Amino acid sequence: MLLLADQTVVEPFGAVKPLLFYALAAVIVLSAWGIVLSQNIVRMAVYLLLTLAGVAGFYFMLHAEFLAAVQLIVYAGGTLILIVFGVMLTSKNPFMQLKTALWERFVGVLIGLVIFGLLLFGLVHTALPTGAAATGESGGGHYQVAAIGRALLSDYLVPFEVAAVLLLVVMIGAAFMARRSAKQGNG
Amino acid sequence: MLPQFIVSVITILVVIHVILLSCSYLIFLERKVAAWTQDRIGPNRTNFSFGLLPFKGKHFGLGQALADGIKLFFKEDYTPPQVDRVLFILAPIIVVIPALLSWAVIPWGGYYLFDQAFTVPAWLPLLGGVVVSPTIVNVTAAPINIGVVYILAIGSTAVYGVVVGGYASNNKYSFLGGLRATAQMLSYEIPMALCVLVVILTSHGALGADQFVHQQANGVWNIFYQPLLAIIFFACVLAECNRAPFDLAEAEQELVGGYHTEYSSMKWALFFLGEYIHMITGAGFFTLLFLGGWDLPIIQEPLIGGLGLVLLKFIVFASKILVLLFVMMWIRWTLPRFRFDQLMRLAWRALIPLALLILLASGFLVFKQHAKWFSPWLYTAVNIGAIVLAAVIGPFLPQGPPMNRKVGLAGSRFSPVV
Repeated sequence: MLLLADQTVVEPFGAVKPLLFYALAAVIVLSAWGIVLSQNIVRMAVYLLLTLAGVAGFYFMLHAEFLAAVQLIVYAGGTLILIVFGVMLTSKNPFMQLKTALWERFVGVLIGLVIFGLLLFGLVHTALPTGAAATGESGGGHYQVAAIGRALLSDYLVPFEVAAVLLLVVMIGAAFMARRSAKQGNG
Repeated sequence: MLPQFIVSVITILVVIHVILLSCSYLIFLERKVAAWTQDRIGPNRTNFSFGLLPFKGKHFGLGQALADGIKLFFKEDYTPPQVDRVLFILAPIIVVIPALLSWAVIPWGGYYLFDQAFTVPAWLPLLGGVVVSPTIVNVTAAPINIGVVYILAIGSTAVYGVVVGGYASNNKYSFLGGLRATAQMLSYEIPMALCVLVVILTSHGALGADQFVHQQANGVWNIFYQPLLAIIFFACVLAECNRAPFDLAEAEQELVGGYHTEYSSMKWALFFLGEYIHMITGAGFFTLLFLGGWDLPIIQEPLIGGLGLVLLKFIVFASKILVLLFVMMWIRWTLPRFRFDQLMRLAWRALIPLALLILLASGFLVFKQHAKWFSPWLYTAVNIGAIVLAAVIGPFLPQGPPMNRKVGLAGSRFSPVV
C-alpha cells in the first residue's frame, strides 16, 4: 500500500482540537439534560441520538474509528430505533407525557450520583497513557479492526460464541412469540 | 497532516458546491426522464430570464431547476398548529446531516502528489509559516481507515429524520409513513451490510474506501466477480433512499404524501434534498465497491498525479454516479410500487438468504485462496450458482401465508355477480 501523508505526527492545529472537544461536550451534556428533563418519549429518543452521536464524535477524535462506527451502528442505528419503533407501535396517544413521581426522581438522582462517584473513582485511580499512545495515532484504524477480529476469534472465543448463541435464542424466541397462531387463521 | 488538511478542505468545498448545485439539476433530469418514459416532452420552456433578465430563447428549459428552487424559497413556510414543534423543525435537519456526512470518506479523486516543498504564507492564522514537505495525500474529506464501515454506520442513522418527521407531524398518514420507513430501512440494512461484508472479505480485508478503488484499478471491477451481489446491493440502495419501487413511505395513493405531508417550503425541500443526497451517496458507494471508483476500464491510468489527473478521476467518478442516478430514475418511472408484504418478503426471504449464501461460499473461497485451483472468477461462478440454486429450489420452499386476500365483495373483480 501507499505510504500516506498522515503517518507523520505534526499538530499545527493546536487550537482546533479543544474547540471541537468543547463543542461535542456541549452537545452531549445539553442533550443528556434534554433526555432527563423531557417528558415526551420520542423527544427523549432524539436527544439520546444526539448524545450517542456526540460520544461517537469523541471516539473519532481519539482515532478509535471502529469503536465510533460500532457505537453508531449498534446504539444509534439499532437499539434506539427499536425503542422508537416500539413506542410508536404500542402507545395509544403519540404525544403521551411521562410523569415522574417525587420518589422516582429521588431514586434517579441517587443512582446518578452513585454512578458519577464510581466513574470519578475509576478515573482518578487509573493511570492514563499520554503522548502518541493516548491519541492512538501510532496505530491505524485498519490494524485496530484486524486486532479486534483476531482477539474475538482467539482469546475471547467463548464469550463471543455465548453472546452469539444468546442472540440467536432471543431471535428465535421473538419470532416464535410473534408467530401467528394457526387458530386465528389467516386473518 | 497539514497537506491532507488543505486537500480535505478544498475537497469539501468543491464537492459540497458542485453536488448541491447539481441536485437541483437532478430534479430537472428526473422530470425529463419521467417525461421520456411517459412519451411527453417535459419542462422545456423556462429560460434564465425569469421575467427580469434580458435573455431570449428557451435554453432547453434549463431555467426550470433554478425556478423550482426560487419557488421553494419563497413559499409560505407553514407549521400546522398541532405538531410537536421542536421535532417538526429538527426532522428535516436530521435528514440532511447524516446524508451529507457520508460523503466524507468517498475517494473522489484518487491520490494527489505535492511534488515540491512549500511554505504556508505567514499571514494565515493557525498555519502561518509551516513548511510542507512533498507528500502524497488522499483526495477525500476524511481519509479514515474504515471508510466503508463508516458509510454503513452513518447510513444506519439516516432513518431518524423520516421517523421523527412522521411522528412530529401529528397526522396519521405521516405517522404510517414513518413506521413504514423504519421497518423498510431496518430490513434492508441487513442485506446491504452482508454485501459490503462479502466485498471486504474478497478484497483481502480492505476497509478504507481508497483501498477498494486501488485494488479494482489494478485488477477487474468487482461487478464482474460479484454480479448478483451487485444487484442485491443496488436494490438495497434503492430501498435505503426510499426510491420507487420501494417508496412506500410516501405512497401518494395510500398516504397522501407520507411522512412529509405536513411540510412545506424549504423544510419540504430539505426532505427531498436528503433523498437526492442519499441517491448520490448510494450511487457513490456502489461505484466504490463494484464499479472501480475513478478507474477507467481499459486505460491503465497513473495512480498518483497532479491536479489534471485528480480532476479527470473526479469526472470519471461523477460520470459513473450520474449513470447510476439515471438508472435509478429509469427504474422509478418504469416499475410499479411494491406492496408492503412483498417488500418485506423480498428482503427477508430473498435478499438476505442469497447474500448469506454468497457470504458462505465466498468465505470458503477466501479460506482456500492460496490453493492452486483458486481463481477470482470462482466468485462469479458462486454468484451464478446462487441464482440457479434459487431458481431451482425456490418453488419447493414453504410459502408464507397468502397476503393477497381476495375481497369477497359481490360485484368485485374477484367475485363477480352472476
